[in-house]
Amino acid sequence: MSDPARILRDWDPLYTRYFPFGTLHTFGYRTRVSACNGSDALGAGREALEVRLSLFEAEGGALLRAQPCAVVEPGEYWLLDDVETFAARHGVTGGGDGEWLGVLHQTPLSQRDAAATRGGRLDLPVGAIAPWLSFADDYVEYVHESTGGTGGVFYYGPFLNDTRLAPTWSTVVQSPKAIFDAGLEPGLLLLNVASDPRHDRRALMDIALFGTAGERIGGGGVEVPAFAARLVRLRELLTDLAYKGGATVVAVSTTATLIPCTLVHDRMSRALAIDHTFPPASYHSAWGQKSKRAAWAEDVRAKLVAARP
Amino acid sequence: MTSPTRVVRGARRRLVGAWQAGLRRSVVMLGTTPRVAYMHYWTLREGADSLVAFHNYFSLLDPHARGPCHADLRVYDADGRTLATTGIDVPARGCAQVSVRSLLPAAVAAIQTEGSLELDVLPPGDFTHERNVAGAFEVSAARFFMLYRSPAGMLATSHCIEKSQTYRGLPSPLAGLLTTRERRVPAWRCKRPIATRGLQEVRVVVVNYAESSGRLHVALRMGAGGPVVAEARRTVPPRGLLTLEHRQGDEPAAEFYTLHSEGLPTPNGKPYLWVRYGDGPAAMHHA
Repeated sequence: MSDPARILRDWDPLYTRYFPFGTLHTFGYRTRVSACNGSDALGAGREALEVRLSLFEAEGGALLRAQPCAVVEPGEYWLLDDVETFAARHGVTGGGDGEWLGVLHQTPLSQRDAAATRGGRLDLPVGAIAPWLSFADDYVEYVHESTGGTGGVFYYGPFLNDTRLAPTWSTVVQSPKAIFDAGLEPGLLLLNVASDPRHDRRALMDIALFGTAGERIGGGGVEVPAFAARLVRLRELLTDLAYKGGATVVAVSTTATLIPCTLVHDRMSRALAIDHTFPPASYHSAWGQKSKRAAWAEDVRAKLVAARP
Repeated sequence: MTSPTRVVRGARRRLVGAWQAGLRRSVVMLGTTPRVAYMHYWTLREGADSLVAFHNYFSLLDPHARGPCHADLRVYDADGRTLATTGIDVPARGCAQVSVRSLLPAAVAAIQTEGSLELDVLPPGDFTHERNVAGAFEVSAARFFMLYRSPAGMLATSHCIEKSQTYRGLPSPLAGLLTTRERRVPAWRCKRPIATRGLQEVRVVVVNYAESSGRLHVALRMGAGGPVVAEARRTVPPRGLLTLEHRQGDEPAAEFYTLHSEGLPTPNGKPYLWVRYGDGPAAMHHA
């Protein structure tokens, strides 16, 4: 975490606490999201949050801009059971091909009110924002209406792709839970989002698939525009489409940080196994330094991911 | 006004912290990198299998590492008794998705249908790393995922959330003294509202990840903190399970439920939550 005294200029309080999520329309799911105002755990810092929803189409264009949803008091919850119906009520009916990126903004009322008189922006120390990242994850759930199949995942929207905090941003995905099997569709859902709404860098991600014995079984690449979501169907990256069994997904982006979720979708039952991945420092604390990680990401890309047999 | 109890607890916490910091310095002086094992939940209910999914992450952290890593997996029953142990070598860049059902004799699997497990992963011999700073206390951690799958179409996943109490790879006096985590969580509530529209069934599993028996509690409540819909409480041995089941009936309408506990046995020992909507397959994630 950055120095708490560091001042973030032109901070948009819509991103003080935010939850980015992608849709899975490709597989026929609608989207349910929720927020919990856990600020009662902050003691004197407890405060109501204004919840708003933004939606972006697959190329990053805004479909819905910070539409007000609710004010959530400390200790309270808010549930949006059907994002797509909410969007339709506000005039979003299409959205084109591909997935939407949603951003659930959760803004402390004091910051909202202070920004209202200053063109929507504030100069704030990191220490005024960091506690809002600390108290809770948010949950997105995918619902297949006709079968009742569901699956969901917890995570949160941290400081990301924000040049006020770091000059370089990268991601290395490592996930050993892909399954290639009849009836199953493994995938990778990628979100290119930022705590700075001026973010405009496209993420260029190289992807490699490794079989259980460590053999390379496929690979490819994907481009994710700023403020957009992409679903990568991993089966399309296989060298041998008949491959069956488990696999590890290794993917690297050095142009922007992505939020990755790996998933397996059951085409018959519509069950969905989806979860986030672990950053490298979760596996080994020596990979905790951001500057070291950027060099390592380049190394992994060159030696393991971009390499062809 | 600070109570005497809080003062004593605070002093004890600072003392324990200083003691643990001293032990960590000793580990650094030894030049070793301890390992942290992680724990999880498995089930064979309704014909399901549970796959322990992990990879040779050392060979990605250090792309020059070519050797296999070695994993030790220990499977416990719902009362915390060891059911099976196994060792698995995973090649560089490789992964394993170990079937828990395959580790148990059929007669055992017919009776023991859920429990907890623990995974420890040892680095390959050629794995190297640079310390962040000289003298830093660094650890590797056996992070992994569970995949749950049944012939009826259930498919779910959840990453490991809680670690084992003791560090691995340390000489015995240090291994017994240095702990990976602190005290139990006094009270807890889930951050996810559980939508009730179409909800048929809720099943909650709490694993006692602590090294001692403890009285575990979990409650399903209407709304943020309304009336209790279902509740379970019992003394659970180490690595044992507490379960709570609720089938949706004629309860008064509430948009969502929430999960609460009077105290989790360990800092991140959150329950696992199974839900079933409509006629669909059960879904699971940690709460």
